[in-house]
Amino acid sequence: MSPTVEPPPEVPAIACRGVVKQLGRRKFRTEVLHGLDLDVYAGQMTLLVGPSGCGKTTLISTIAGILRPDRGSISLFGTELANLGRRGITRFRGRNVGLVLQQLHLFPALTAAENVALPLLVLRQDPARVRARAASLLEGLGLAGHGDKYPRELSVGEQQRVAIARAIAHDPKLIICDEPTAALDATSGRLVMQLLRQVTVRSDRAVLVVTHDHRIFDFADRIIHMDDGRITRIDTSSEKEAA
Amino acid sequence: MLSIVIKMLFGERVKVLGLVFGVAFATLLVAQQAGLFVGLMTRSQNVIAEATDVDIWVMDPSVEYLDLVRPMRDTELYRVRGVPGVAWAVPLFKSATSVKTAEGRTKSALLLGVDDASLTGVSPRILLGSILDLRRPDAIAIDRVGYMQLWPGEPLMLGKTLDLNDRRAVVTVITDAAPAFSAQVIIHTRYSQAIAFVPTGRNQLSFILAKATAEFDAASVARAISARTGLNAFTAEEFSSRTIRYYLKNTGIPISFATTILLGMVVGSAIVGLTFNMFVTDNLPQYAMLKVIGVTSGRLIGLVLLQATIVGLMGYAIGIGLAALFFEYAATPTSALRGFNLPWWIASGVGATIALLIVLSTLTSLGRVLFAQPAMVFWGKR
Repeated sequence: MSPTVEPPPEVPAIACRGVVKQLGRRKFRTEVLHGLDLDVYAGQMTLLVGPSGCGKTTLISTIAGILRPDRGSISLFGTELANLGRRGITRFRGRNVGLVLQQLHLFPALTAAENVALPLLVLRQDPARVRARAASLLEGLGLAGHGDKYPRELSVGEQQRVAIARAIAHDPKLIICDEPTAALDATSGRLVMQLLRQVTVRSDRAVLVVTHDHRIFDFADRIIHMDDGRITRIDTSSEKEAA
Repeated sequence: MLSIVIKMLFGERVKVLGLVFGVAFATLLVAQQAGLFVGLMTRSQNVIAEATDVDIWVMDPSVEYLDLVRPMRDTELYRVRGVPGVAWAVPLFKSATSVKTAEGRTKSALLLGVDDASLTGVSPRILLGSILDLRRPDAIAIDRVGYMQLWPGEPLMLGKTLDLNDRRAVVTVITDAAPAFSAQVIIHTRYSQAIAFVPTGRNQLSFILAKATAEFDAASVARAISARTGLNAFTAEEFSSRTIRYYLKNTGIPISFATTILLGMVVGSAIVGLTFNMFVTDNLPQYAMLKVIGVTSGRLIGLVLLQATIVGLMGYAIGIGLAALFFEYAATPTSALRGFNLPWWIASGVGATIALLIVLSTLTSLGRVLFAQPAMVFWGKR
C-alpha cells in the first residue's frame, strides 16, 4: 500500500532532480526534458508556462507518475516515485494526485455525482459516505441539484466544475491542472481560476497548473517558465508585485 | 464500483445490443444444431432403446448396426437359448416396407415382428387398445404419428385397415413409439404375422433379443454367445453405440451439422469479437482515465471481464431460451421433430463454448486495455 506522506515543511511537495525524458520510438525518439530540476511547494498555486511543445505536458505526466523518467528522480511529498512499482505508482497516484484535464474526460454514462464519486470508489470507500461527499462537493461548487444530471445535460462550465470536484474528491496532496482555461473565454476562465484557487489551495497541498494563458497569471503564487525542456525562469508573488 | 462499471457498459446501448445479439445468435445456432444432431443420432437407435427388457442383441456376424439386417436361420435362436447365463431369448423380425390406406395414401414403414408368446419388443407406451390385441388375426400396432400421417385429421380409432404388401392389416393397438431414423410409420406385430406380411427368403430371423440371468452380467453373456455360436452379440448399450458410430462414420450427417455449428461459432465470435473490440477501442480514453485515477491494470482487466461476462450471460440466456422455445414448439409429440430436445448437457456444453468464445474475444481486446497509456488523457489517442 502506498502511504500518504506528510512532508517536513522544508521539503518541497514536488522535487524533480535531473529529469530526462525521451518520447517516440527508435529513430523518431527525441529528448523532451533535458535534465530538469524543479521544486514545487505546498500551500501555493504554481503555474507552469511556456510555448507549445516545450515539454510542459510531458513534465506533469512524469510528475503524476503517468510517464516514467528515463533518468533523474521525482519525489512527491518525500516519496521517491522510482521506488514504487508500476502498480504502486498507480495506487499512489489514486491516493495523492488529483487531475483536472483540458478535455475533462468525464464519463458520459455516469451522472455528475457518480463522476465525482469515482476516485473514492476506486479507493474502496464506503458507498454511503462517498455519496454524501460527492453531494457536498457539488453543492460547494454551486452544483446543488445537478448530481443526477449526465455530463451531456450540463454546460461546459458546469462540466468543468464537476471535473474539479472529481479532482479534489479524495482530498489529494497534489492537484495538477492541464490547461484548465484553454477552451474558455476570459470571464469564464477567470471564474474557473478563482474557483480552483478557492477550493484547492491549502497549506498541505500543492497545486500545479499548466497553461499558456497570460490572462490567468495573476492567480499564481509562483510561475515557472519552461522552454525547450528546461526551466528558464521562476517568478514568485513578491517578484510579480515588485514588477 | 461494480455498479459504475455496469452503467458504463449499458451507457453504450447500441454496442451492448450488438454484443448481446452476437452471443445470442451463436448460442441459438450452436444449441439448436447440436440438439437436432443429437436427436437424429438418438433416433438411429430408438428401436434398441424401446426394447427395455432386453440385455443382449444377437445378430449375423456381418451385421454392424441396427438398420443393416442379414437374416439368420431360426435354429440360431435355440443355440442362443442354450448358452449358459441366458435367461430367455426371443426372435425379432425387422424390415422396411410400405403401407397404403384405403384412400390410397402410401407411407414408408418400419415393420417389427416380435415374439408371438411374450410380445417382447413392442413399444411400452400404448395409447389405445391392449398389447394382447396383437394376438388377433392380421393385428398390428401403429404409432400415433404414423396414424396421423395415414389418416390426417381423423381421431385415433382402432379397427382401421391398411394394405401391407397386398395383405390386410388391422390396427388393434396405437402406440407412442419413439420415432425411427427414416421410416414415417412404425408397426409392431407378431413375428409370425410379420413374416406373412413381408415376403422373405429362406431365413427370416433378423435379431435375437436375450436377457441375462441375474447371476451373470450382460457383457459376459454376450461374449459367451459370440464364442458359442459365432454370431455377433452385444449388450443393448454396445449395440446402440455401434449404431450411432456407424452413422457418424459413414454418413455426411456429422460433417453437415459440424459445419453449421462451426459457422455459428465463427459468425458469432466475429460479431462478438469485432463489437467488443470496437467497444474497448471507443472506451480506451475512459480506461486510461480509470488508470489515471488509480485503477491498477489487474483491476481494470477484472472490470472489462465483468463487462464481458454480463454481456455473455445476457446473450447466452436469450440464445438458449430461444433454442429451448424452438424445441418446445417445433418438436411437439406429433411433429416430424418429435423426440428432439435440448438436453442439459448440450446447454452446458454450449455455455462452456460461448464462455470460451467470449474469453477469446475479450483477450484480443484486453491487450489494448492493458497497454492503454494513461498519458492518452493528455494527448488523446496515441
